[in-house]
Amino acid sequence: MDYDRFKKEMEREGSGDSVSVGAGLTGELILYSFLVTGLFLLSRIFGKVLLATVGILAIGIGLHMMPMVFRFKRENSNHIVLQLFWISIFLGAISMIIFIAGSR
Amino acid sequence: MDLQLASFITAGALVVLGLYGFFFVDNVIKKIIALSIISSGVNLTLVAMGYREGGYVPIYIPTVEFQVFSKHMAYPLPQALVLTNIVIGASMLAVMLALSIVFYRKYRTLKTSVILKED
Amino acid sequence: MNLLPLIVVIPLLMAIVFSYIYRSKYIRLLTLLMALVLLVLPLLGLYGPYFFGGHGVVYIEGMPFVSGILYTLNPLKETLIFTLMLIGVLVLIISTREERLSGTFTALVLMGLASVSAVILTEDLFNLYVFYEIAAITQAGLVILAGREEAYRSAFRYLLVGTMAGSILLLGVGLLLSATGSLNIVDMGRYLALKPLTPTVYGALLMLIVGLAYGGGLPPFHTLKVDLYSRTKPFVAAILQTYSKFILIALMLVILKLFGGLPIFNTTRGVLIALSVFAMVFGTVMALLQDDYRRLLAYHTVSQGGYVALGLALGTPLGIVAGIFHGINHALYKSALFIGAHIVEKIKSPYMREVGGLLLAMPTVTFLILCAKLASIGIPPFNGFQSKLLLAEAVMSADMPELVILMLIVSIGTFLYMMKAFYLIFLKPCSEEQLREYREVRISKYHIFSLGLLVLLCIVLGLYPDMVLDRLLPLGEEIAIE
Repeated sequence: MDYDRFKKEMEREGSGDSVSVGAGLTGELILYSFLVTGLFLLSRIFGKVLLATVGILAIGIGLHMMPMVFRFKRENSNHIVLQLFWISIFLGAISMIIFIAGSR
Repeated sequence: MDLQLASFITAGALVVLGLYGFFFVDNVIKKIIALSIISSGVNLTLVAMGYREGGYVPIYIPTVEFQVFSKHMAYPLPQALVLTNIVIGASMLAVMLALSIVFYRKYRTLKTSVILKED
Repeated sequence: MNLLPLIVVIPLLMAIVFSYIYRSKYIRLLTLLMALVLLVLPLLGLYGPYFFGGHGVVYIEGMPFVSGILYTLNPLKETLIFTLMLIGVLVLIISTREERLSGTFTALVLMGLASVSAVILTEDLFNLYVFYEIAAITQAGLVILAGREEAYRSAFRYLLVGTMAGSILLLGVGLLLSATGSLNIVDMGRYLALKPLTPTVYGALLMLIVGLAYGGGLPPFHTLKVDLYSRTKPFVAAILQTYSKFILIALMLVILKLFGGLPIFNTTRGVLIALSVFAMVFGTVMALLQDDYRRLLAYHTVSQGGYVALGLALGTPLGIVAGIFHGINHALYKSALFIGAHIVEKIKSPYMREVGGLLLAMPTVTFLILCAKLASIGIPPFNGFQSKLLLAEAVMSADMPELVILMLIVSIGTFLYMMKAFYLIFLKPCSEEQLREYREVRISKYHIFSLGLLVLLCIVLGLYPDMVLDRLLPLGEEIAIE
């Protein structure tokens, strides 16, 4: 990922000095390493080929979507529609997980 | 149809309807109504849990012997829970409605996506 | 005589009194007196159970069942309540230096203290629900008192989602009641371990997790909590974050006690660990992008909440102890940071770019805030180091080295944004004129006293962590799952 592109993107958000750009880049790297370590953990616990394939796909998509931080920030906004969207996704996801685990 | 089963189905329908309204309706007042519907559904679940076919009211009746009474009494605990929950729900609703009046005066609209937009 | 209920009853009663005399001339004096009373409260109870209304234990077919509401006090709960009351006292003391203090503020803080200590003390699931909801209303009320429109909006959001989450939590409590026939947590846990599991129990577990995520500020509810902390005055945010951390700890312990021994707990543990890791990463990444110091601290609270939840979700004795210890440490240094943010806001502005060079204007405060920051990053000799080390050990022994790497990465992120904030606020060069402007603002002795006390506690706990750990360890082993 390009420093200049990143800096341009940050300037559009209104904070383009070096301190903020450095912080933003760190955020980007943390998100990416979270993706990678999370996949390591999952593939070690479940140990499935499918999961590894999906993991590589996810990393590829992550690379393609870079920089992720700005999208991430948009999703974390406090617009009520986005908040309710993620809450409903959360409710659906954990009910799926727990009932699949229960039915086994 | 079994009365208890019917009330459970009604309660489930109320909760699901309320959740639908909460997530998908844009009007503040309608959202609050949906929340109140959810909490009514929960209250109905609790009351229906303590229901007993042909049971006695769980208050002391002098003419009935205690042994018989305790066998046929409806379960009183959920009713106490429901009473408490109604009070809590009423106070929550009061605060939310008061706030929505404040927002209506400011924005002249009740759309949630306008009032609670990103800031 | 066991005076345990007074921990809850006295603040609640005084909250009613204070909301009647909210315009009194003597409100500052009365608030200070009340603060002194609060410090005595944790000493009132005796260890052991307290049965309300004298209903004790009933034996049905040889099985003990608790009829009625039961409060218990043990060293763990006592430590939590002491920390809670201490921060409440400091916030009340600072509030007497505010210009527009009304009795309503004191009443709301007292109500929150009472409800959170009841959530910690109670062994009865419905009682827990009632006080959980009261705590939610109290937090919204404290934010509404800030009196600005954004504050109203964030309180409204919090209440809207909170009513939904609270109803779902109550449905979970109801389902557990129908599955077990009791509301006492220990009885329920024993019953669930004996009988085969039904979908009702799974549903209840799911609903308790929703309530936990809302009450503790785990994703996806973290944006609500961040709004709440950043829209009010920062010293109020100190008590708000303490409330939600302790509710998180109490609800986690309830889930462990209820479902710890069941076969489904393995999956549940996965869900809880995933939630807490999300909280850690989301909080840090978002904090890196903030310009507003209050918002930065609010996101930091979310990420540290993830650490606490991670420790507790592991379910091992060491994990539980480390999680609770980190919660206590977090409450201490985070309150110090929020009080520091209050001073910064008073002097100039909460936006980091508008201040700068505060070091020359107030070196003592700068030093204390730096100490609190170092504690929050986890640098020895402060308490944050001790609890993060314990957490890392617990995660390693639970066979998840990847999470330790993630924790370290998140810690580096924390270091970066804390130092960024420190540079921009305290070290960045500023003009003479600005410095004169800073020096005109008088900072009350009460603020510096509270800040100093909290930092001192951070150092003491960092040097002698056994003071707290010795009290937590036996209970961690009792609650932990195999």
